[in-house]
Amino acid sequence: MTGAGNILAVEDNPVNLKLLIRTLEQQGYAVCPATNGRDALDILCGRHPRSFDIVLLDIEMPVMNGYEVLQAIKENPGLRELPVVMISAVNEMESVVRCIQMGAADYLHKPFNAELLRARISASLASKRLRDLELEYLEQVHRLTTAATGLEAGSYELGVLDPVTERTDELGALARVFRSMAREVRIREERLIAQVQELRIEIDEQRQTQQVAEITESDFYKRISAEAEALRQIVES
Amino acid sequence: MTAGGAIDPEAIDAMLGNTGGDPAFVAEILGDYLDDTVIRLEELRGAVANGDATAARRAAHTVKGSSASFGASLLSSLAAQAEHLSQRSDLASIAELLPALSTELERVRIALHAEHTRLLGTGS
Repeated sequence: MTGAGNILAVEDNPVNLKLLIRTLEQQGYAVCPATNGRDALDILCGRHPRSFDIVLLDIEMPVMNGYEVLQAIKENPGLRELPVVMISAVNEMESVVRCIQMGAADYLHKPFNAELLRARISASLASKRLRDLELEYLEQVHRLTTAATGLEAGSYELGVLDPVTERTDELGALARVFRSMAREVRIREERLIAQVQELRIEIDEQRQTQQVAEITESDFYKRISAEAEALRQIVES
Repeated sequence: MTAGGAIDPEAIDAMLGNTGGDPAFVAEILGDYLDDTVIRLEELRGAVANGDATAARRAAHTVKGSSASFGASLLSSLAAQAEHLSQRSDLASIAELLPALSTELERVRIALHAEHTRLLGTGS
């Protein structure tokens, strides 16, 4: 994130857009402009979902209006958590209600008051950051449960939990204990495998000795040995 | 208000404060606004002549919004009337509004010139 946050500002009127960009930059935000709804969606879909912290969206635009863009954002699983603040000269209450029902975080009338704009953006960003933390927490809980299942199935990979173990909360503590136990299990497993291998070698050696003894102590072996000895004496005499 | 209230200087001062206190930037954007509004009113006139209520609504909506931002409240109000009429496809009534829009645009032009001088100490 750059400065106070990254904003995608969508406005078809170049004068209004210029004014909006300068106002937002003065408030510490990094602003990416889009002059119609289609361009806005292309920018959003072409970047990492967390590239932007908020979208400021005009309603009356050519190519694709603000309602259509808002709907497309809320229907896209990768974008639906992105807060969208409508900024419009459409003053009808019906439009405000429609946008909020469609999932807009807020609605500002043009001409906007700069301080109100800052306050609304700050509130939406605070809400988004909480949601981002919640999503990250859930993702790391999933990572931990997947690791547990993987350990049981023998597919657990050391290092997979490292990002979770860096947390300073209880989930991080749990991940550190789990990782430590998993390493211990892995070490014991490897030690057991080595012992089994040694046992196998020992058993093989004993089996060979036993087989040699069985052969050398058999009547057949003794008779052949005696015959061989008798032959050796005949040859030497 | 300047030029008989065509532009509210407080709106320009607020704009100056909100955009970093750079008079050159505000003077430049006042010029951009005037140029854009001239084009939009031409679009509105053309839309009325062609019977295109959708284009008329879009042009009137833009003039309404940007004029409000620049403190041109009467021009914004006239554009809002045109937008409202276009939603009812009442292009004949918009045609009757066009002279008033042109007159107000001229008053805004004069007021913007005065604002430009106030900001930079020179005329546009």
